[in-house]
Parts: sequence; structure tokens; C-alpha cells
Amino acid sequence: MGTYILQRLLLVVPTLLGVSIVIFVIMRLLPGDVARQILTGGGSGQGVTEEQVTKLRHDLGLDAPVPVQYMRWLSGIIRLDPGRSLQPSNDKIRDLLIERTPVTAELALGAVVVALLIAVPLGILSAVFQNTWIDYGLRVFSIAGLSFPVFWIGILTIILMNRFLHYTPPVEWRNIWVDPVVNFQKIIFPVLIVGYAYAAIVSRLTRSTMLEIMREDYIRTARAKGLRFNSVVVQHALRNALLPIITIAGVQFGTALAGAVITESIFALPGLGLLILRSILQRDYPTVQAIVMFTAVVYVFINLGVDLLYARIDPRIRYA
Amino acid sequence: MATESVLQTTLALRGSPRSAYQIPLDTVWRFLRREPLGAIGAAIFLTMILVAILAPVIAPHDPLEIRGRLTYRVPGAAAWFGTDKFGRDILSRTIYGARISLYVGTLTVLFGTTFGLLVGLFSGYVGGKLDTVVQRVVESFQAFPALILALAVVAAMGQHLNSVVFALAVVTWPVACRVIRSAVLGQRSMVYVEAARSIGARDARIVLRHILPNVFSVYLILATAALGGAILTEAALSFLGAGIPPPTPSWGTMLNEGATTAVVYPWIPIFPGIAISLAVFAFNFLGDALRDFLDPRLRGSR
Repeated sequence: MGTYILQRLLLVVPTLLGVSIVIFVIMRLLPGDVARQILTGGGSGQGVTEEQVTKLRHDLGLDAPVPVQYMRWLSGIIRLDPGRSLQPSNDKIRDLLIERTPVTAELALGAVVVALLIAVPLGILSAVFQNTWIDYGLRVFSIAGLSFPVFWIGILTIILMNRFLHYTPPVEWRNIWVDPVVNFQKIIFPVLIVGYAYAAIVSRLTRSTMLEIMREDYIRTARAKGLRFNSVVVQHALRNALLPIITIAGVQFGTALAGAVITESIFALPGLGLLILRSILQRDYPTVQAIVMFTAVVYVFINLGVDLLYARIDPRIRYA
Repeated sequence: MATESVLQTTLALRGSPRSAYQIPLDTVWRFLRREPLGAIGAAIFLTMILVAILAPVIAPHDPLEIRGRLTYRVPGAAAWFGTDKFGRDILSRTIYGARISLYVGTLTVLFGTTFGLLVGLFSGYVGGKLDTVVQRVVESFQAFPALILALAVVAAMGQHLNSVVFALAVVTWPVACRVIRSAVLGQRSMVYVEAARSIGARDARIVLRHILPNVFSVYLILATAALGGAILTEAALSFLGAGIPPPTPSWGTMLNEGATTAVVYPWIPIFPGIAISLAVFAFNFLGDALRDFLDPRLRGSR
């Protein structure tokens, strides 16, 4: 078990390096001069002199050879100092990240919890009663969760809340330790919406995994032994189904994060999602890189955690 | 004499002999009957294609025409879906939006999923060091939440229709590659591959003639999911303002335009939202039903 943990931890390093290279390449080598795009705001480029472009390139360090640029950036990341934002406020990016991550984290985690609480029981029911109305109903429900654009549901919620409940969420954000009531009011709808989307995916997977497992021979043996159907489902089938479910739940955490980006924009939550959006639209490249890198790192570590959890539960993985 | 009667019997039983690549119509019919949800999905898909093709004929107005005196009209006789803040007819814009969505979706599948298919086939069949390297690259791409990666690519390439397509393809190919690769690994260890190799078939022939048809069902499921996902992600990008630039009537852009005034003029975002949901619904039903139909392990006990 110890060696497996060590192996997995070591594998994280090349993956993270790969991730940093992908981000860097996307930002630097795709068509479009970064400096020119910043100065013209993505427009046609009238009224921008070549001297301005050259000076900006030099200030941003873009005239150095690409590997040098990469090493500079990478060393900054490793020292946990991704530099400064290109916005007029010129904040340190690290401060921005620290300020905004708790908001997004609360949203994402809340969504995951809600989703798992809904999705797993639904998936089990859907599998046990396959091809009955229960199954069709639950399949429609979960496909709806996948199909309705998250932002559309958000807009609908706001419209409905306003028209029928005469309710608007509070405008300012309050940290959960400072003012739990306002915090809850602001976050409950985004959590439910993102959770619904996330639950849709997990419930479909739970259903198909349970379906596969319920056809295995050992399930048939358990039932033949006379065990009650409920015990068979929970103690035998579900246990084995949990493994792929946990894996997909971890992998799909990215979906929760993406959903967070969108809902933050609709419900005006001051999290990472809004920040990356603004940065992209205003061509604030260092911030974009830093946030994307940060998100990717979080994601990699969550998957690492899932893998280790997997190894703890399933001995076959450890000795593979 | 003996061979002639065997051929006759075969023809009598199965109709004309088919190769692995001909579309079996009776299977399609069986699918539609067995999976009602899939049939609904297919019907919606076909309707969408028809609407997109016939857009200039069925749309009552020009989707880009700005009419200052008709702004913010409530849905009624003159404009079935109402008008937006520039007086543009929402019904026409929604109809033309189908074109954009289908264009983006099909191209993404064409480039993204197919690229993933090719890489997965190659990587899975060849195996060894090459496979390991390719898998690391795929993992590096999969380490990003899809929307965020797409945002980054569009940010770097500038906001055009085709950079959105490229971004979506970048986001789609890793999943396809992974899934196809594991399907290929499953096929590669089968006896028929060993048999083919032992009578001297070259690798290319084995891959094209034997493995590819057998992973085709997986590819089909991936393609339908990718179509739905591409439409959704493109809508998300356009909604956030980072996708297809206005005034092109992408459904996502329409939602963006309607978001701020949603409480007062709800019809502006509602109709494109319904369109997006219907489209993605259709593809998801289709993909779901295909998976249930094609995977023998998941069939209910009948």
C-alpha cells in the first residue's frame, strides 16, 4: 500500500508539468499576438503603434525565447507567486486567488454533497426497477439535468423567484463564518442548480453500474441463498458499485467547477468563476493562466485522492 | 453443387450478403421499437436538421434585421416569440440558431471525436511505450474542467466561429480517445484477432476490417454525447460572452442578451433556452438508448 501511494504521488508530478505546458502553449503559441490583443482589446488594431506593442512585449517579458518565458513562469508558480494582474488595479494574483477561492469552494462542495445524496439512491432505484415507469421517469429526470443548460435553469429560477415568490437574493456576499444566514440565502440556489447537473451524471452512472453488477453470478448466489433483496442490493451490489461511482464523481468534479463558473456569473457570487471570466474578456493573461493552473492542480489532487481511496477499498488495485 | 445450395440458403435466410459496413435497416427498426426514448430523441434530431436546412424558408423575418420601432414586443400575432431589445424577431433567430448549433456540433464531432477515435485506435492497438506517452498527453488535457479549457483556447485564439469549434474539439477528443482505446484493448485480446494475424493479415487490415467495425457502436454513442455536449458548451461559452460573437444568432448569445432583463422580458431567454434543452435532450436520449440497445449486458430481463 505504501509503495502504491508513493507511485501515485510521483505520477502527479509529470501530469502537473504536462498541464503547465499545455496552458503555456495555448497562451503563447496559438495565433494572435498577446501584446497586440491586450492593447487593442481584441479589436481591429487601429491607433496602436508598433512602439507600444514592442514596449508591452518587453514589459511582459514576451521578447525572450519561449523556453525562457516558460521557466520564468514555472518558477513563479512553484514559489506560489504567479505575479500580478494586468488590470489597472494590478493586484497580486495570489491575493485574488485567496480571496475568491472560498466562495467557489463552498459552491462546488455543496453541490457535490447535494448531488451524491440525490444521485446514488436514484440510480439504485432506477436500476432495480429497470424499464418500468420509475426507471423511465428517473432517466428523464437525470437526462434533463444533463440537457438543461445550467445557466438557463439559473435564469429561470431568478424569473420564477421574482414573479411567484417576490424574492430576490441578497446582493452582497457574506462569508459563512461571518453571517451564515445571508451566506445560505446567496448560495442555496446555485448549489441546488449545480448539484442537479452533477447529480444527473452520477445517477446515470450509478444506474448502469448497478445494472451490470446485478447480473453478476455472485448476486444470483446471494439471492439463491435466501438473503433479502434489500440486503443483497445494499451490501453486495452497492458496495461493488461504489468504486466506479467514486471514480466518476471525482472525474466529474470538473463539471461541478465549470457549473460554478456559470452560476457565479448569473447569481453574482464573487468567486473564481467570475474572475476568470473577467480576465479572459479583458485579456488579462497572467491571471487566466494562474487560475487555470490552479483549477487543474486542484482537479489533479482530487483525482489522486479518489485513486488512493479506491486503493484503500479495493485490494486488487494495490497489487496490480 | 454443395456450395451453390449453401449460397442459396444463405441468401434466402438473410437477404443479400452484407459487409460489415452496410447499415442494417431492420436493426434500426428494432431499435426504434425497443427504445421509445431513443426514438423520440431521433425524431427531435431529424426535426432540428430539417429546421436548420429550411431556415430561410420557414423563418418569418431576417434574424439580423434591426427594427427600432418593434423592440421588446411581447409574444403575439406579429411575432410569435416576441422581439428582443433591437426589435429582432426571436422566432427567426431561434430558427437560424439551429444552423449554428448543428454546424458547431457536427464539426466538433467530426474533428474532436474522430480525432480521438483515430488516436485511440492507434494508441490502443500499437500499445507499449507509444501508448504510455499518448495516455500521459491525454491525461494532461483531461486535467482541466472542459469549460475552463475551452474558455482559455477561445481567449488565446480570438472570438470567431471557428476558434469556438476548435476549442470544443480540443475539449472533446481526450474522452473519445480514452474510451475507444479501452474498447480496442478489449478487442485486441480476442481470438479472432489472433486468428487473423496467424493467417498473415497485416496490422492495418486487422484494424480497419475487424476492430473498427466492432468499436463502431462505442463511437456512435460517443458521437451523440459529444454532439449534445458541444451544443451545450458552445451555448455556455456564448452565454458568458466568450463564444460566438454577436450579432450571429447563437442560442447561447441570445440567452446572454436576455439575461440582464430576464425578469422584465422573460421571453427573450426562455425560447432559446428551450431550444438548447430540446436539442441536448434529444442527443442524450439517443445516446442513452443506443447504449442500452448495443450493450448486451444491460438489457432488461424480458
